[in-house]
Amino acid sequence: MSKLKFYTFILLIPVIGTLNLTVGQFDLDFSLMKEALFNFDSTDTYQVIFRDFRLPRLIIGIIAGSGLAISGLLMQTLFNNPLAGPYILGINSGASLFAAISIMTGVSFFSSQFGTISSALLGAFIFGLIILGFSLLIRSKVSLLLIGVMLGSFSGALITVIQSMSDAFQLKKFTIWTMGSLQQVNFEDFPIILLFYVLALILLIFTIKPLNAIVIGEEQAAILGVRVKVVRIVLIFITAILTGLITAYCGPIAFVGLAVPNLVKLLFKTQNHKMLILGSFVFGILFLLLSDWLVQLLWSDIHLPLNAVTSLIGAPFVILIILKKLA
Amino acid sequence: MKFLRFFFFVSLFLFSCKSTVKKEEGTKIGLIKYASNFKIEEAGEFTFLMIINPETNEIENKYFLKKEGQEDIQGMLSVSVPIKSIAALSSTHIGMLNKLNSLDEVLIISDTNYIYNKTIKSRFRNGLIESVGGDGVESVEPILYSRVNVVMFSGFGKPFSHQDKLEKLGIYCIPNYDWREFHPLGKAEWIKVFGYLLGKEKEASDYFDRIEREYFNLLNLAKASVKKPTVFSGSLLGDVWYAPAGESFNAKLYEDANLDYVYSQSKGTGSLDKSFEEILLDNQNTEYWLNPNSTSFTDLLANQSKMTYFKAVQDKKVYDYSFQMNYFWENSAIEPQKVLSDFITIFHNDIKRDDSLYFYQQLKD
Repeated sequence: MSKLKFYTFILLIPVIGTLNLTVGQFDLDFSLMKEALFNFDSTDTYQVIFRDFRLPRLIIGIIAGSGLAISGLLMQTLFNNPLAGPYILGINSGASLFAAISIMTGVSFFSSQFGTISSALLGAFIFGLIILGFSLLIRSKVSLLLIGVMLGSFSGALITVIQSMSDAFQLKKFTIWTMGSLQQVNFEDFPIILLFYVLALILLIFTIKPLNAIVIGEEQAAILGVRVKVVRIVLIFITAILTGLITAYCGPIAFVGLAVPNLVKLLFKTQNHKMLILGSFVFGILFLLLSDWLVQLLWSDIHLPLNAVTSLIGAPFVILIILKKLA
Repeated sequence: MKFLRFFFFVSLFLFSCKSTVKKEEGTKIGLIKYASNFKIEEAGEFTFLMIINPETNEIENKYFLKKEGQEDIQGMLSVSVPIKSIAALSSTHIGMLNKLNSLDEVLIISDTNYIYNKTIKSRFRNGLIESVGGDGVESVEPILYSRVNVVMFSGFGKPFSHQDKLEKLGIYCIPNYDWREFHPLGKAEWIKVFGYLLGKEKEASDYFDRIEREYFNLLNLAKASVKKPTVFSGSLLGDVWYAPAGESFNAKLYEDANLDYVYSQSKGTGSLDKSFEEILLDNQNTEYWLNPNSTSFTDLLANQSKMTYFKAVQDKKVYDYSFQMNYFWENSAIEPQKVLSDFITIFHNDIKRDDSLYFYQQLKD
């Protein structure tokens, strides 16, 4: 992909971002947006809707799109497997399990005081620690991959047990949570979200060179002086932070983390992770914002879950790119 | 002579077996005032129960309620009344049977998690009642084992699981569409179905007449209030806010309670699905919020802190019935006057009366 084309895609982010801000039950003008940002009046419904509904949706869209795509790329490189994604380590399963406990068991600590998001965050944190613990103990990355899958199966089974005992309303509530949404985030959640997101991105900068070495194989990377085990732990740590955070606030969002890195590799035709990370960052944002824009645009006719839209527009698009590259 | 009369009524039934509901000459339709999903037809000594599918407004099932000494009508489902046993698979059925003092006839229930009634719970613990489970894990084996006379189940336009086999064994499966009634008294009127099945039609009718009177007394009291508070209703599930539509059962209750329900002019008998943005736009300054599906503000705000923007939340004017969910579902259908009474207590404090609440409570901190 030429630099000019890439810059054009970068410029598309503010365009689609603005589209996202304006789509909804009513139109918003720029003077109102300015007022809401710099002179917020909580009694003005329009300002409230901009500041506490649409802006958080846009910001979390940017964070979730970029975070999932980057996590997917890291896991694909770490496991040298294009089918790996951000959820391969089972961290999202921890978030899902604790969200299920919060929504469906009636344990008052999780359901009342704590709420679904905090419960999911706790679950992601616990499962992140477990997988990090295993990565310290285990050398083989295949074993680590298997442990991630087993953690997913284990928590999946527990969720099934909880589902079998819950009532219809709770079941529906949980099912809806699993469909993903960018609308559950509040303005006051951002300090903590941004703190962890920026921390993950800073750590990411230090992994670019080791990632380029790991692509040619872990043994060769070790010969080149890369501390493979440390890099692995850092990669898992970054993925755990990003996927845990995003799953807690948005539910499990499908497809982005799997498809976007593969799409970027096809478009950029490089193994340079500086470009791949940048590409995943940009295309992850574009992909998720576009999906959410469609969800909002079609709202009055049909309420589509975000997960359905990401896969519905993503899958044919990726197939098309693959066919074009093969031709 | 008896044969001729029998022949006459059988012919009458066969002619009346058209899909649409209409009164046939020579028959007397039992006085059903508000319910639209069942009819009772009395033709001389013969009584027929018709269940009407609310989707199609056509007769879904017609039963001959066969009294002692009467013979079966060929080709027709003949339920011998009074029935001695019943599977009551919805909480509202338990509430109605309780009002008729007929809990001893209940041998099968759905899921014990949805039961409030202490007698039913105690009988279940003592092994006198079996459960078929609920939420998609139903088993018909307890029904077969208990050989109940009738299975009363919530109708969804489909037969009950293994209905054909059960009916061959003389176990009749009757769909109950009380939950699809739009008038609060229409829902309560289904007690008459239980009355006819149990041979307690007079008790059922008397009970219904009493609550009808009480309901209209309260309705007139509410109309006398000088206040007509604004109210919105429903809760957020995922990204969708479900609110009662303007022609729904709940909207009718709000109208009868002299409330200014924000979506009273909307079309539809079910739910409106709206975005949170839309709800906030319409209701930021609405005085009261009903049915947020929470029992405390802590719970409400832990799951969605944006709720603080509603004036109703700031003023703590939020009420829900989910403090005793099973009690509400079991009794509110058969005691709509108590729901109305709750609304008058909550919304019309200018009317001097006792301030007891039956189902609703203000959300706790």
